[in-house]
Amino acid sequence: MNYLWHILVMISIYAILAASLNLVTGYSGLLSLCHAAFYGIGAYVTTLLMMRAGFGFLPAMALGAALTALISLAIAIPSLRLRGDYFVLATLGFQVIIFGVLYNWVSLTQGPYGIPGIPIPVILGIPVDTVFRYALLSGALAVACLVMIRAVARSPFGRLLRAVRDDEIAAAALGKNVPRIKITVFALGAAFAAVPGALFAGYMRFIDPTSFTLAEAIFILSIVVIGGAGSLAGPVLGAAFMVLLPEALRFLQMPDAVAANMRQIIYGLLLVVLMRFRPQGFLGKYGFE
Amino acid sequence: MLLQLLANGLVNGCMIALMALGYALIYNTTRIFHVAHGAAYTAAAYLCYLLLIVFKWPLLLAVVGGVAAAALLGVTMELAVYAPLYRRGASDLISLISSLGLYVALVNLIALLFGNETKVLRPGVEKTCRLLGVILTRIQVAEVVVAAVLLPLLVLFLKRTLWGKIIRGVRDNPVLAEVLGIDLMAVRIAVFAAGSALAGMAACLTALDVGMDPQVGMPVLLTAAVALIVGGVGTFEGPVIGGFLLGLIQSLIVWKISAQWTDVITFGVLIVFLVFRPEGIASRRRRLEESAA
Amino acid sequence: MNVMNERPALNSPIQPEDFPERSPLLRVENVHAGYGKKEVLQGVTLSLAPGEIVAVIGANGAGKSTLLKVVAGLIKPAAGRVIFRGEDITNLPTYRRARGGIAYLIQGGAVFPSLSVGDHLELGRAAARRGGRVSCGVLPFPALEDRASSAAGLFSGGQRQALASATILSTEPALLLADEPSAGLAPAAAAELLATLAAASRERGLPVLWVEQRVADVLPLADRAVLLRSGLVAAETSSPGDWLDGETLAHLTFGRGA
Repeated sequence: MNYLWHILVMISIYAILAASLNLVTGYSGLLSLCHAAFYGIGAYVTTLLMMRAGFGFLPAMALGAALTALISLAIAIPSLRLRGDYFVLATLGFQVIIFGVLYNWVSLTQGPYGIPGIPIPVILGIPVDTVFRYALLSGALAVACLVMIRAVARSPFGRLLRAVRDDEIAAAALGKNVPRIKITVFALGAAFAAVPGALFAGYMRFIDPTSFTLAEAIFILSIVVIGGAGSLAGPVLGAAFMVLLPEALRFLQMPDAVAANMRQIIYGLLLVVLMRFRPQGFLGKYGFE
Repeated sequence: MLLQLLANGLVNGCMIALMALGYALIYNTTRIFHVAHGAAYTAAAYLCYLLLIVFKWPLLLAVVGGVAAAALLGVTMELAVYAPLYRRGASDLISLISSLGLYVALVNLIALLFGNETKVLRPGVEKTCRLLGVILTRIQVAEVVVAAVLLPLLVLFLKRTLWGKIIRGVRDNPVLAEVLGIDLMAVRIAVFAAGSALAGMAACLTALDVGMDPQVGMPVLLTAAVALIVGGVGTFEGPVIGGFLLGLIQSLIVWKISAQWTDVITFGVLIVFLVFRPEGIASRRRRLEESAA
Repeated sequence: MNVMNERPALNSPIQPEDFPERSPLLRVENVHAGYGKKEVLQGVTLSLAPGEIVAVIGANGAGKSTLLKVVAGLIKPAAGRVIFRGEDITNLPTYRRARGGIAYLIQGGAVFPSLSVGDHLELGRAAARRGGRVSCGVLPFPALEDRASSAAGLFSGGQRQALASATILSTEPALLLADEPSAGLAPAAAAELLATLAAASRERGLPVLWVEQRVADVLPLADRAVLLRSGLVAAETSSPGDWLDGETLAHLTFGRGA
């Protein structure tokens, strides 16, 4: 049974990650390759606040989200005025830089050794100390995040995002402050990405930089693209698919070492095939045109 | 000590410049953010390993094999993935996502076939040469010689020959090139072949020098992309200049700070250029041309 | 049997007698074409005889440029055919049409900014698969003479347009599609360029399908004129001079009662 709850925790984490990136990529048309950096900043800030400053899980997570949003401005403000592929390269650079900082700033992050012994989250006095309880916590947080993201997408601001995505010049001509809109949604996406970071840290009770690499950022983007950019259900479906894929391979008696590579080969090819024949993904509304 | 570091920076810069020029050939002409170029690099290194260590081919033939494999893989990617997207008129983002997918699939296929661990192509201690107090291995000397021959030849080729003018014409204005009678698809195949072959050359030489693992292509590709931005997108001498500059900066980092901060500082340089001088170093003239438009 | 593979002989313009009498060099048959779902051309039919200069006029959005792009192969028509020298070229790619002699002069003086005048002429001839070289001295554009080796990106608008025209002429085309060569030029420069281009075409016997906003400048130079309105041929005349009077033209262009 624990195995099923574990799957649910993982799907929740990736669903929030994908839904938050979907705000940036699906609704606003900004291809970002640094979402794993925000995920990692969320995980590290939450962990450090809990372990060094005695914060509870939820306050640490909230502060982590706020700080992640703030850090995202450092990359958003200079690079959002750049053309499409330069922006992608800038986010990619930011991802590499954040990984390098997490890896090398040993006095703060313990670098490659990672941080063990992260305390168990305590919510309303109840310790979340079983996989089942953790599935409840992460499921609840995922639902809360998805509801909030849905509210953003359906708000006038959400309509504005799609207007900027579909015709930036027209939106600017209507007097909309396009850079400010982009910076806002980027920070919002970063803040939401910090939540699964906190969940991951509290669940694993150990973090190191290798969970927040460029490969992870590509993986999160793939969930959005495969599930369907610009739709509400797409990221959830994408997350479920990508989390269950290696389990299915294991079910086919594939050795773990082979399955790890095989899963990536499958999703890489899936990206290529989808872009060729169905760029809007399984459920998407936006085909990156 | 300083001289040795400069020499190491030069060797490193040679390889970055080769990779960056190959990437520039493809990017300037097609505007595809070809991340899978990194996979062509990795594939070349592994084929070189396969031919040299497993099949016991002579060194030179193994390198030729690696270079040919990269060229073949690059052309295959163009024909199978990018060309159909181009004909459909798909956006740059679609090509980029396809390229990410290609990279992930190819690199993991290589890892599946050869394993994830680091492989060394030249076991034992390499013979060294001493020159002006600088010690370089023979492979490192070969890296410098190959770059010293190939880079100026290629830059001159692009400047002077008809083929070079065709490539620059397609870069400047693909529609005009096409209505004058240039077969754009043929030019694209040619730049994918040549650009990927350069990646293969850098890959084989670097692998002989320091070995490789399946993940090696991405950082090399990213460094090349940074060299292109720093040198000047749209130019062909820019990525070469940018490559040598990055090579020197990286060896200075090793000397003054720590090798671990290399990536952070390399990409810090990228962000500084993107923000303050997105047109790069070598493009003053190009900017002038564009302002006259 | 593909006409496009036969190269026209150097320095011998296509003579009317090379073709059976009345057989058009170019025929556009009932072409429908547009961008995405928007249909701009809604069934255009027209012909061009060897050596003939035909002015295509009409209001903005009438489909003039779209017509040229269909002939050049840059837009695939949704329906209809394009026939060149008796061969159906509707599905031929753009570069093969160029090699077969269809030259398209892009609107706005398109050049390669980093290439010199000499590079343009060399590239143009090589791309169109013509042998040999042409020096820019033989081309009727004095504006280019002292700039043979500087990069085209540094040129003025007039020099760019002259270079674009010279590049096209150097490829010895069999049909010229001119898309508003005067666009963006000052009135005097525009009139001069049009006159030069028309004279060069006459001298070479080069037929031209000529889209132009400067109606008053182009009509006197043309043998025939075709007027497009809302993607259809609304009127044709063999004496284009008759259309010079403003009232007739406004009536034809906008379809209002005079």
